Amino acid sequence: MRVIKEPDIDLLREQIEGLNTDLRSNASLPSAPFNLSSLDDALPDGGLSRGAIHEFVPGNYADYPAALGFATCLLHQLSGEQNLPVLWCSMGRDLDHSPHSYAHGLPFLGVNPDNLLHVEVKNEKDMLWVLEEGLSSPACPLLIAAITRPEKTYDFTASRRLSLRAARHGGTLLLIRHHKADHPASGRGSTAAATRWAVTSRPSQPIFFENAKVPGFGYPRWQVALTRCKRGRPNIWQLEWNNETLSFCLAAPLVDRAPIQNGQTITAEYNPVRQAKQA
Amino acid sequence: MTATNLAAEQSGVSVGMSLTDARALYPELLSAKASPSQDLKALEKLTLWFQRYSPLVTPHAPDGFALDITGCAHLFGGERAMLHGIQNKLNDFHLTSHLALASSLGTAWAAARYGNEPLTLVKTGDNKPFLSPLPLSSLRLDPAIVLRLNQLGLRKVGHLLNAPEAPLTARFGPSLIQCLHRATGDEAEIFNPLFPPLPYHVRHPFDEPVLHHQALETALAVLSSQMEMILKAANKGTRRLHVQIFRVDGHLEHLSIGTSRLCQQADHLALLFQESLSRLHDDLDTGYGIDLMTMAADNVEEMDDEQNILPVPLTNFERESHTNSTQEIDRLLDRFGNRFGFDKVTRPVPTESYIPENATRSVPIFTKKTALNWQSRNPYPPRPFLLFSPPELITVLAQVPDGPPLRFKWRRLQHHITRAEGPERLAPEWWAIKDDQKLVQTRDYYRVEDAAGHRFWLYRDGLYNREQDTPRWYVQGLFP
Repeated sequence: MRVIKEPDIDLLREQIEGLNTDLRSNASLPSAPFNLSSLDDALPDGGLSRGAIHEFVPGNYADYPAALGFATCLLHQLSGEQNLPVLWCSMGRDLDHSPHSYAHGLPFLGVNPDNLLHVEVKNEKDMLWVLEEGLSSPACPLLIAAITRPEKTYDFTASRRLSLRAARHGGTLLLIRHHKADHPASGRGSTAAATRWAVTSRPSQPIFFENAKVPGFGYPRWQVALTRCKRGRPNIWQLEWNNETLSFCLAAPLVDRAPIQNGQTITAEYNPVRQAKQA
Repeated sequence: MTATNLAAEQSGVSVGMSLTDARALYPELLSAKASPSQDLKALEKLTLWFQRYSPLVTPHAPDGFALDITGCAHLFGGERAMLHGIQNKLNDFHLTSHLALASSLGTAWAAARYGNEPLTLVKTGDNKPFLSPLPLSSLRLDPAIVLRLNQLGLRKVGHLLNAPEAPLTARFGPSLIQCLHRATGDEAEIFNPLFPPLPYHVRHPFDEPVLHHQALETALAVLSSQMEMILKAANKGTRRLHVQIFRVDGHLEHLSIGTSRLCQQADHLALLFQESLSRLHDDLDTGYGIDLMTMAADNVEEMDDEQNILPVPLTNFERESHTNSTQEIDRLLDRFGNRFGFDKVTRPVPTESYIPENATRSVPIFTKKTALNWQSRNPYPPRPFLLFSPPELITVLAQVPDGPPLRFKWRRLQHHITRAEGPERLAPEWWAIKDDQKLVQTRDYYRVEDAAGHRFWLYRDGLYNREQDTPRWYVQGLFP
């Protein structure tokens, strides 16, 4: 019987280490904090990690602006004071009449339109190519893309390819997925993304004016659920984006002030984490 | 009958016969419907293929083409050898050819069509003696003039060569003498090439016709480095390059790429071409093999330091120097542009307008910065970050016709409005309205939120009772 020599195993271990380094190189990059302790503590790196993919799933069809808006605000958090170029990849809008980004509204979300490089593609395959090439280039630190049609190509393998490239050059990709992506019936399981967020719109703080029948609305508010995160603690937050100070704050949910009647149960709010666990 | 082949002619069929007559002569005759437009296309394709001999080519409809081979013949072993080479190629394509080479376009035209041999070489200075026995139609004259000259007894070019010019001009107009002089070479004729020749031009002939894409990619790398060498020597850069792939059987494949900035780096050019070649991969039929590739640079300009338009990442990529990362992003965007078209790779710029959909526009990524900037034109009330163009029509229920909306129906869904702000009134820009746009009206914008927390940007088109009795409502934007 042949005896396996010790050095051989050491060598193999080193080789395995070598294979994994490309994924771990992003540990050296500082993460982008939300500056909210309850959120930052739930994330493994104390904030949104760079050199990774982050996925955003709208709660339903109408929540697409909420998911994209939340991701756009995160671009501001990731960019910080530096003027980083942002590669914005969107699908052609000939068929589905989806809206396109409007530059005059972006400063309210903390993105300077001068930094925007917009690439319009026809289909998901082209989009994945653009994202892959963008992440492979050392000059492209921030990418945002929205899959606005039912997903066909994006799966674990595709996301793994993207995240390997992201880790190598420190690029960060914010990917808005189709609203049915998280649905158990879609048959698509996990991806290699670092985090996945479910985003739904929430009514904003009403502002009451004199002589007005309907109140005005305050800062945009979303229910943000961290549904998937390695080494993180999934949770749900009510977030508000202050478009004056360009920062996040937590919004206390409104409560029903009416006294609870006998026999009435408080209906639970939509909870994606619980639903995912049940599924 | 508009055209026949040799076998048909031998059995007595000739051009101008009716098909029934020809069938009577030779019952098994194969015939096809003539299509002059397709003939013209095929002629142009064939002409382009002969760019391998000289960059100056032009088709002469319906059945000929011309090459200006000034300074090219020695590359192919002299004039006669070159003519033989072209004849062999045409024979290989199963085309019957009449070739002529002369010092003027007119003589060559006449010799190819009215010469006795399939291959004629007219020496410089022999134009007049060669032309004189030929019929007058060899001068490319108007058939009406030829007819009248014939009626006068002038049948050969020689008759005109010795005749005094003034009376001829008086009777037939200046075109007759012009044609005569062009034929003899006394008057220079402008050669009108199909494509103007490009000064920066490299070629890569293959020893044997190649069939594999691998070889083409290698050749692309060689051509790119040659191109880089000649561009660097002249301190020039290019924005547009063309590659032509010549197939032995007369097919020509054309690839072109654009770069957003002046470029001379071989590796970048080769990458762009390889990507465009790989997209062709399935369509590119190498047929019997490819024996020549050429690369030519268009839009060549002096290299100088260009202004940086895009912000440069100063980031966590310390190891990348400033210039390097600018170059990297240029290269990336070039590749996107060549794949999707440069109109799909854009950045927004502000424009001088208060109307939301006109207040910004997308320009190709490397357009120079405008004097306007976003901050100064940023209106105070928040703007949506997603915009529909064109705005989408909705049905709205409002308490009073000129008041804020209560609920609206958009894309077959009812939205009950719980928060609303407005109106923000935007009057049409009277200084920008043209006469044909009479329907531009004042808009009242409302920012509204429905019960589920979705935020919209609605407007009413037209002021109630002043501009419009039944104003229409649109949803134009979405807030996050």
